[in-house]
Amino acid sequence: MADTASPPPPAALGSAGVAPVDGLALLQAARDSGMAALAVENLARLGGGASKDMWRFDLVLERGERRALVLRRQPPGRPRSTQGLPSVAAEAALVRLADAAGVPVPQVAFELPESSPAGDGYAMEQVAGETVGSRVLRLPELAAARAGLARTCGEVLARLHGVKGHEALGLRSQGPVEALDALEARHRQTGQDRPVFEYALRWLRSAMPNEATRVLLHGDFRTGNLVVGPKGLVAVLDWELAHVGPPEYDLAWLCVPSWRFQRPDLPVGGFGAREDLLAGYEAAGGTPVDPGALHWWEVFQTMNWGVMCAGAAKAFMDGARSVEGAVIARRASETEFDLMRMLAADHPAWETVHAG
Amino acid sequence: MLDDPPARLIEDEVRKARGAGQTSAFAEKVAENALGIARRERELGPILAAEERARLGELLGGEDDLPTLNWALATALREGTLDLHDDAVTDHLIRTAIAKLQVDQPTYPGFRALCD
Repeated sequence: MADTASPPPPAALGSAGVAPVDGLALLQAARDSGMAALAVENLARLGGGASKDMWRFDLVLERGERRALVLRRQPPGRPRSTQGLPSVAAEAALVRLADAAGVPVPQVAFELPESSPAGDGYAMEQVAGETVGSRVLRLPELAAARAGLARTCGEVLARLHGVKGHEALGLRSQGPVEALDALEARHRQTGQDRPVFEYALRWLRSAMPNEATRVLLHGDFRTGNLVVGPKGLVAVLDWELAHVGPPEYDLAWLCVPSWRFQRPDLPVGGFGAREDLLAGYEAAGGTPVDPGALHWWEVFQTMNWGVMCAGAAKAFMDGARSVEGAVIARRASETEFDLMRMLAADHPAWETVHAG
Repeated sequence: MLDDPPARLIEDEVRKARGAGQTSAFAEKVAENALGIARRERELGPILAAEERARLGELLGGEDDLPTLNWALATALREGTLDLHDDAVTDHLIRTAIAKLQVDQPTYPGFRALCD
């Protein structure tokens, strides 16, 4: 991920809590993949999540040529999360499949071999654009990009969902029944009494959609994981939650109210209309989507984000304390609000907002 | 019922982070945000909890405290002993969702859109 609008923090090589990248092992991996690489320079941390980090670096090639690359990796010795792919390096194979299908992705440069001292991961080309959701929705220079973005997202998802040959990746496969069971189990694991989640679960059970087809899913396709430039969608990032399931899973996740930021009036990621998303999806060969099924999945996905926030509360109370964790925990209430808006929009109790 | 972590633990965590010399502008913004939740919880929490407790007492009967009544509501919804289309249940859930957001995130755009 490259973010031209906000420069990344200065190099944090070896600073507290961050395992440095073994630059020589990185260089070796580039050479083993057949690149005529002479050196790794300007290695600097870009940030990253709880389990993975991102580093930018220049790969110096023969004749003074340089390639600006980004390493996405998990430091050596860190256990994998159980939700996603078997390794970060395995993500590269998936990204190549998506690339071949015409999904905009950062091109994979090379993978780290198994048990590399540099960790588990892969290097990709640096892409220029904006990812931070609130800026994607606000920057004036992205106005034209925003106007076509919902349709583009539909087209891109249709291409991804049409990918064949993903079976070799061994991704988990879930239809609506398994997905709902898993969501309920994750909610139970938080140990929290949440009447709104129980209400939503009852509604979801009473309105199960028919399952038509299962396709390759990105699994986290939303504002924040989309790199947007003045000309439109530049790349789709963060493939670690990819799995197989109903197409509406991806389409609905993009419509969760929490990623609309300052534009609650634009249901698709805060930048577009559902009609545009679905028109792009069908124009690019996607199976026509039943609006009722999409609504079911939007309710499901809103609760899904809510359970993630509730999980942050449990993690905090179990001792993994951080200020950011506390703030995310206290966002579970926004999903309770959104769930009630979705399931009981016409109830007179909403009038109390005006009265209050 | 307001969610965990409670105001006291949020304030402790911000104090610790600042004491450890946390300086980035982003981290400071998150800390301010966290302290706002804690402040509103201290200001509004007791009255909102009393209102929620009163609604639940009417809905379910009984003199139990808020956590017990909230557990009873969650259980009744889970087990199907309360009807999803019961107007009084929906009324309570909406009022409680609004109350929680007034503490946690009064600037949530979807909420602001409704207020205007």
